[in-house]
Amino acid sequence: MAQFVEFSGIYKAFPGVQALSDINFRIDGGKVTALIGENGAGKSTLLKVLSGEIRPDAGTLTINGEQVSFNHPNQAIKAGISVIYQERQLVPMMTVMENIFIDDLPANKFGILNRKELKKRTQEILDKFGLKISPTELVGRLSVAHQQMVEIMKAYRRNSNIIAFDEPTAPLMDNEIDTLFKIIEELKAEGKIVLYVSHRMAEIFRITDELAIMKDGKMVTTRKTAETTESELVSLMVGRDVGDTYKNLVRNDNIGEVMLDVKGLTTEAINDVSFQLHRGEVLGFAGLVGAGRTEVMRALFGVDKIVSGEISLEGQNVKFASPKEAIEAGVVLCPEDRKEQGLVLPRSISDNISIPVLDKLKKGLFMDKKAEIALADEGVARYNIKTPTIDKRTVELSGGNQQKVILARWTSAKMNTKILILDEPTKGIDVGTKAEVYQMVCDFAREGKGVIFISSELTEVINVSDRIIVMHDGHITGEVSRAEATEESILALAMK
Amino acid sequence: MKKKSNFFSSKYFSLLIIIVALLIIFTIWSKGMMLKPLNIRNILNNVVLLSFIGIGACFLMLYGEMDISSGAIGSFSACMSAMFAMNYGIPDGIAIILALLIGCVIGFLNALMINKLKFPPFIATMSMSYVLQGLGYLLVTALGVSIKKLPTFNFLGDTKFFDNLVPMGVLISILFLVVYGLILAKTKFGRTIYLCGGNRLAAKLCGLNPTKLSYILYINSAFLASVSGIMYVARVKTALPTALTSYQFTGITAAVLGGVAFGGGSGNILGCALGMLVLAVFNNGVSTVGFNANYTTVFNGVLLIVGLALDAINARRSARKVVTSSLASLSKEKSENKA
Repeated sequence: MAQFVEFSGIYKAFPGVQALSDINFRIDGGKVTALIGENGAGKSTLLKVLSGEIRPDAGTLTINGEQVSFNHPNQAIKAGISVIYQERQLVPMMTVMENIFIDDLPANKFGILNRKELKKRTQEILDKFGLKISPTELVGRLSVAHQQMVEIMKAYRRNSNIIAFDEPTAPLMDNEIDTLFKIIEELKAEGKIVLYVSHRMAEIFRITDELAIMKDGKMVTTRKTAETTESELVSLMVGRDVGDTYKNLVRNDNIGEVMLDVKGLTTEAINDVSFQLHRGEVLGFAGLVGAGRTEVMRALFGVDKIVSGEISLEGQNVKFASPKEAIEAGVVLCPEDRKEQGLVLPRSISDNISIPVLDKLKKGLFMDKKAEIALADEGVARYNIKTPTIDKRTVELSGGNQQKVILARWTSAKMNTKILILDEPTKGIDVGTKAEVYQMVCDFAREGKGVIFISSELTEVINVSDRIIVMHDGHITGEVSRAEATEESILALAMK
Repeated sequence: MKKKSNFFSSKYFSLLIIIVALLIIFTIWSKGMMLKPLNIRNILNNVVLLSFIGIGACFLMLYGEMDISSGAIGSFSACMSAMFAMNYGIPDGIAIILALLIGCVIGFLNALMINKLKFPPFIATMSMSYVLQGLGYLLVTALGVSIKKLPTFNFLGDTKFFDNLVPMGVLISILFLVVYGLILAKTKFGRTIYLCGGNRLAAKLCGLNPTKLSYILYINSAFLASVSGIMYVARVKTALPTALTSYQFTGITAAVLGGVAFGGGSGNILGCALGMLVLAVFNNGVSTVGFNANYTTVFNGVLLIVGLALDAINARRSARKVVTSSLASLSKEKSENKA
């Protein structure tokens, strides 16, 4: 009996972004199907629809021709679906066998656990997978690779017929990858439906039979792995219309001297990162999620501890022990996660704009309300923030307006911003506002600031930046100018 | 078009209505006993003890944390001050200052456990509460220490104004409420509490120092609890190791009733003060009409549940508002883009 899963007409919108639109896609059993696409293409959202974590706005999911609809991940598990995420869903202080049988522990009628039976059944699965792990070992003590195996064994024990892997090889060593692939081959031989999400081209060609390419929330096309090439896939993943947005940008063509010189910056997450930023320059940072770009900025900004390396700002050696020191020196950061790290959501627009300059808004002991209102009014006007009043709580604003509040904060008249670090500033923002943000980025450069522009969207990072640094796995793998940059060349460096 | 918030539709007005309604109901029920001068003074005296602990609780809750030990700190400081003055012959003014300092040290230890050892605030302050209560019994026994002929205590506890109707404590309490209210509403420090309480990580990334603030707030909470303890001794003339036991919960209840959100970020001193009045009037009324004191505890629990329920309903309503307003602004932006 050939098994299959079918998505038809799936739509899902989040505030400010259409994450999935009209996804029609069939996955057959007995094959390994890869799901590929750039960051933000909609792969994870689609996986979450499959695992029951997200309910689509429209469309249906059918398993072997039978329509299903999940209100809760448990229902998806019961329907035979297991999604294996990078962040493992294991209980580290419990044993391997308890984790594998976590929702089906063998017990007698009084609820007393049958450890013997549990151990025996776990050993059977371990043997089947050819793993030399003790069933009674604590999961927290296993290597990352073995923890992942435990997760897979859990899916296997549940008799899941549909197993999806989300970037499974990211934490694994080469020989561990071999073991994983052997297991995937077995799952495939048993006729199970295997979905494999990965950025790594080599693996995709080695393990998968079919390919589905996503872009901007849409399913672009499918290919048979044997009948395609790496370069065809890359162009399918990135190829899109670069509208007039970028052509109309008013850029800064007067790039000055070196403002920021970073030499051999090393922390727990990044290794030997060196680069220079010039006055009036927009320096792009490209790379896959987790390449270490955010970590470089955190180290610069005084959040993460620097192990070694030197930073000089306008010719002076600096090392910031806290964000406060960085801000005082004129280095500011718009973090990637606006809601968690950028804004104080329950407070007003005005309160959020004035945070770093409260000291300059005092009149004697008390806050100078007038000066504060003037500062907020100026920011709202300058960035065209759509709000009836500066007293509106930021939680009630759209993503684009939230981002503008953060930009207004860091570039207000009371700030002395020299270097502006923007981490994924257009994430979750609609197309119209994105264009506005691009022009703002160029305007900062025209004002003589140094701008660092991190983005996982290749088109935008190439077209907005003057120069692009590409990172992979915690270090810099290359640097290209806007004139030379193509999406293919950057993707190649990012996947190195 | 700035929408001015209308006092009559605000939560302060509803709280005032509740206070007036409670006064009317209990006055009728108690056949006028409720409004006798002596009883009014009783109500005020209870608000006084609650007010200091309540301000501390309010500040910490705005920061998103709480101090379960403040009742025990108040009792402990009460015992210390009485013991220093009566058993060791230290002048009572100095004894009071020493007790306040001890309170601050205890607050510092709370903050140390929470920030350095990363204990959850609830656990850290609960443990501290046990330690202090035990120590209190060891030092002054269950009988406590009675004070006699101590000028400073007498001044604080027995001075009365306006035809003997308003005790000294009420004036001190009003002074504290006004000063702390101004700090919260008007100063940079007050703003910092709201910002760190609203989003600690974002506040830190904007150059604020939430850890330093945490130390200040726990020390402040313990200081205010000690003030409550001293005022208790000054009025009752006996320091018991259980003097202010469970006042921390009354303080939290008052803050919740006054509109301070659990988890921090919004609320103010005016709301808290009104919350305290609601509780004081209610508790006094319940005992004036002749219910046994245990009923007060039950009713306080019910009031806290009601307060929290209103908090939850508000949160849900504003979450719904967020979704609708973000959808509305989205569709508005879209139509503008089209145009």
